[in-house]
Amino acid sequence: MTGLEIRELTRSFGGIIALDDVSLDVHPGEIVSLIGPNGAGKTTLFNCISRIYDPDRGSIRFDDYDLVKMGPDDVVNTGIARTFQNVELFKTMTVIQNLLVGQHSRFSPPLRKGLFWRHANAAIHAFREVFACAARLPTSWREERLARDTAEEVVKFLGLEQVKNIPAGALSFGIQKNVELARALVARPRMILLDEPASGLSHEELGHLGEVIKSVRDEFRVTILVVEHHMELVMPISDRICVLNFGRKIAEGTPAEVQSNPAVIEAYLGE
Amino acid sequence: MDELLQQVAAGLATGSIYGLLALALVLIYRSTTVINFAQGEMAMFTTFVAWTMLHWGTYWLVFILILLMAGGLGALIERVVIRPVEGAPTLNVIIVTLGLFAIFSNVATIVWGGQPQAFSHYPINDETVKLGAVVLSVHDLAIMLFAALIMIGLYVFFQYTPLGLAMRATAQNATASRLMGIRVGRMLTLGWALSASVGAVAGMFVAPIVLLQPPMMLAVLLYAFAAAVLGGLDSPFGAVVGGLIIGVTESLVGTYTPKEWLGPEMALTVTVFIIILVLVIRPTGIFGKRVLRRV
Amino acid sequence: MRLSSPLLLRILGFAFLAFFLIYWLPFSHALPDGLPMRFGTYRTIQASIACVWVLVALGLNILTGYNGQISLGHTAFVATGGYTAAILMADHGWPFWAVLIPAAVVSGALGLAVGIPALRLSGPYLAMATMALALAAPQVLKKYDGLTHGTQGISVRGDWSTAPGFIGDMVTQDQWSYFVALFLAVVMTLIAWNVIRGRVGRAFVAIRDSEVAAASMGINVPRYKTIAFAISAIFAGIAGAAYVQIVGYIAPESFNVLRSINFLTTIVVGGLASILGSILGAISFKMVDDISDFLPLGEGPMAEQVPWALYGGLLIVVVTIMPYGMAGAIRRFQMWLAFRKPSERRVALGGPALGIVAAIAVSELAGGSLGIIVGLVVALAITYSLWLPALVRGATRGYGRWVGALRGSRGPPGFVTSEDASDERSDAER
Repeated sequence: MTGLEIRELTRSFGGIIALDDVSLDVHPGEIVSLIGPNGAGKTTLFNCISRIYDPDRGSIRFDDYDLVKMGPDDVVNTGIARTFQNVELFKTMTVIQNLLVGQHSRFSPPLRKGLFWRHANAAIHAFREVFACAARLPTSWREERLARDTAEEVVKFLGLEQVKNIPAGALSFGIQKNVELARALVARPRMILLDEPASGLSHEELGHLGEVIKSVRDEFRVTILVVEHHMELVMPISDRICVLNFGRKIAEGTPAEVQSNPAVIEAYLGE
Repeated sequence: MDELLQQVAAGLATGSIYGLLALALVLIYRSTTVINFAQGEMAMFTTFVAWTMLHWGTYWLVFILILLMAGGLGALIERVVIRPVEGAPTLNVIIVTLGLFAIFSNVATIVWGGQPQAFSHYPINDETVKLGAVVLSVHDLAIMLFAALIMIGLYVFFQYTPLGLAMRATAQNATASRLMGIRVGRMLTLGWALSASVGAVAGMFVAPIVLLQPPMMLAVLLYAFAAAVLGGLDSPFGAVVGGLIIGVTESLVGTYTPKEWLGPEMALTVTVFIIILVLVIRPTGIFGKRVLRRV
Repeated sequence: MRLSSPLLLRILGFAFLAFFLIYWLPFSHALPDGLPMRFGTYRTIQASIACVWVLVALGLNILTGYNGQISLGHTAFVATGGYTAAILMADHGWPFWAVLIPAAVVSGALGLAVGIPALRLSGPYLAMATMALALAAPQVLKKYDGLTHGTQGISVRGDWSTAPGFIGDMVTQDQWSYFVALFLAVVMTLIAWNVIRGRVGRAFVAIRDSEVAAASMGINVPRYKTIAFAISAIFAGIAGAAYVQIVGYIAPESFNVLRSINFLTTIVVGGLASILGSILGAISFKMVDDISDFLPLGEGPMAEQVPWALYGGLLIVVVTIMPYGMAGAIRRFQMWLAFRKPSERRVALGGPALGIVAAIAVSELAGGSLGIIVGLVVALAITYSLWLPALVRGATRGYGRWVGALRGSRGPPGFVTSEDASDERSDAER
């Protein structure tokens, strides 16, 4: 249980270097915030962790897993779930159905080491899975019931009872963000990546969100890495803060340390 | 070597026809992301009208009139049946064009009968011309000439006229264009009109080759669709190039592959599989733009 | 006991459906003499073929409706299944029940093979690539005639198409074929239902809605997309085998590219991403096929062309006023019904009920297809009389308003609201 270890991560798009030699550790049980001006590379870092992008250089390790060697669909099996900046819910599905999809990894075969075995195992599993579904074997409806129970639990925890049978696309942006958090939680991850959870929220809701994030950490015992602009949210909840600017890490430390760091003040207040 | 050149030239001639109809498809696709499956049947229909009109008019007069009428037909279709499904899922609009397909092909059979008709009064005769080692009919040359003229004409129209610029703007971003004061609805109507006219030219050139009959454009449409996809659906230039590539490939495959297990009967099959291969390498066609999605 | 009691309605509905499918359709010779082609046998064959189209539509809807991968090549899969069945039955003497599995496996393998290159394509590009398959299929079948018997096709009629034992004394060959097809359709509908409702189906829809999010949920996007292709092809392959068993003959031109396009039309008209929609679409498509049997058009080109021209018009109207197909219209109708006064509800439900009665009565007196059409007209006329005022109001305000009224939110029961349409549009723009 070593948590997330990012070493010398570099990624560029065309001529623009979005991430430049970034290293970061997130220890189990921590809430770490990733802040920085627009275009600092925060979301790129997330997308590298969740394997949507390939890094040009560097390593990302989570516990015993080398994430760089994995596909985007393996990441959640290592115990990392995430939310998206602009909400990527399954719009035509109801909230509950979204949460059922969120538990897809729960009933996937355990992650095997080695490329060949991972794929062979998954292919066999896929065949069995389709058959179990088509014939409605007991295994499939037992899993279904388990998944439903978990979904209901998380719905209750996040106060989504009112909207649970409404198609996600019909909900307001703020609630959709909440549903995304729920969808990440039902996967029972050990670590959650939150991409701008506060966007679209009012000032009062910000305070509430901070409480929610803390209680998520305590109740579900997850490590949390947050990308966020809103200092009102970041400062009170973070154990540590990492500041990015133009793809480089310019500071790291407790909220108090970061607030007094001259490089950070310069990046935020301009020249 | 001479035979190869001959085959390439013949392929270019048929390819020009595919390219013309593909151009018509692309004109509509660019602004609405809809494949107009009725494109070929619309062209067939206007060619039948032209055939009727040829009983009392000279060819070139009829030709001009038909282009105008086809434009009117395209505009009418856009206004009456396409506009109401604007904003519906794309597949629904495609089904509407399939409905139009059924209407045009069957109404044409009801009005003009299913028998093939010779497209008489055709001023471009079958005389052949020798260009170096290559022998081509005047008809083939006319097709290539018209395809080139239309390409140049459209290029000038889209690049150098305000109206063309407005149409390009509409195709790229309808909402922003509307905010800039462009009448987006009119641009879409105009796009359909233009496309129908280009298609009508293709119809006028197909009819003398295959005889005038209701199903004559079906195969051409499928090739044109393939050509448009191969070139990249948002690129008019790509559509014509795609048409030429398909024409030449088909001609060469028919001639130069072993007869026992491929040969002319399998020309279509080989051609479409080459297209699939190209698409797998370039998923949005040769000249198409890649669409990137951000999360 | 009130009529609106849902359980009672459901039981009555199922009982009626069972009566209709198992007894009335194959056994009632509800047609007068002197019309040999329209006799019961013919209708039974048509019903059997409708079952085949239901199978194809279910498979295609799993791929296109639920997984969002468009296919214009499904005739190739149907032909693969059909030919596998025909070759095994005619050349190797296999019984029908035994060829179902190979037909499904061969077709499914082709589906897998096509699904892999399809991973890189989407939208019209995928449509073109799959259409290539449908274009190539007849040529390939003609060219390699050692296996496929070339242009002459394969005839399969034999012992296996008669029912076993005492059942054989009770039903004719065609009736038996119908029951086989119906059985397959029902079983495969249940399977489709299970797949869609379960974890696999949810993964399909998740991929359609957002590939990136689906992957981050642990769904292996390429694998599930290929699985969708394979499942879809398996349905088509079984449909092909059933087709061979019913018609007793298969040839390269039995399945051309136009039919492929029609399959897509079928599921859009019926309703994308809907099992009920697949079934309704397939049945109505088969009915349009047969319209020429009763329209008083005589023989010749008129009898051939007029129904299809009408079909084209109908297609445009249906797609315009029901953007989510017949299944979507029914869903809307149910929601609309929930907020109506009881008197209006009686009219709205009385229409379909009277329509069914009229359909059976007219069928007994005049003919099956005509009966169904009359029933539909009666049902629609009564139900939609409720919303005639809105339509008239729309018509007086110009064409756009009239179309708007046809699909607007206040008036029409069963149709989508304009807000839904604008949702879709903003999705498309994004």
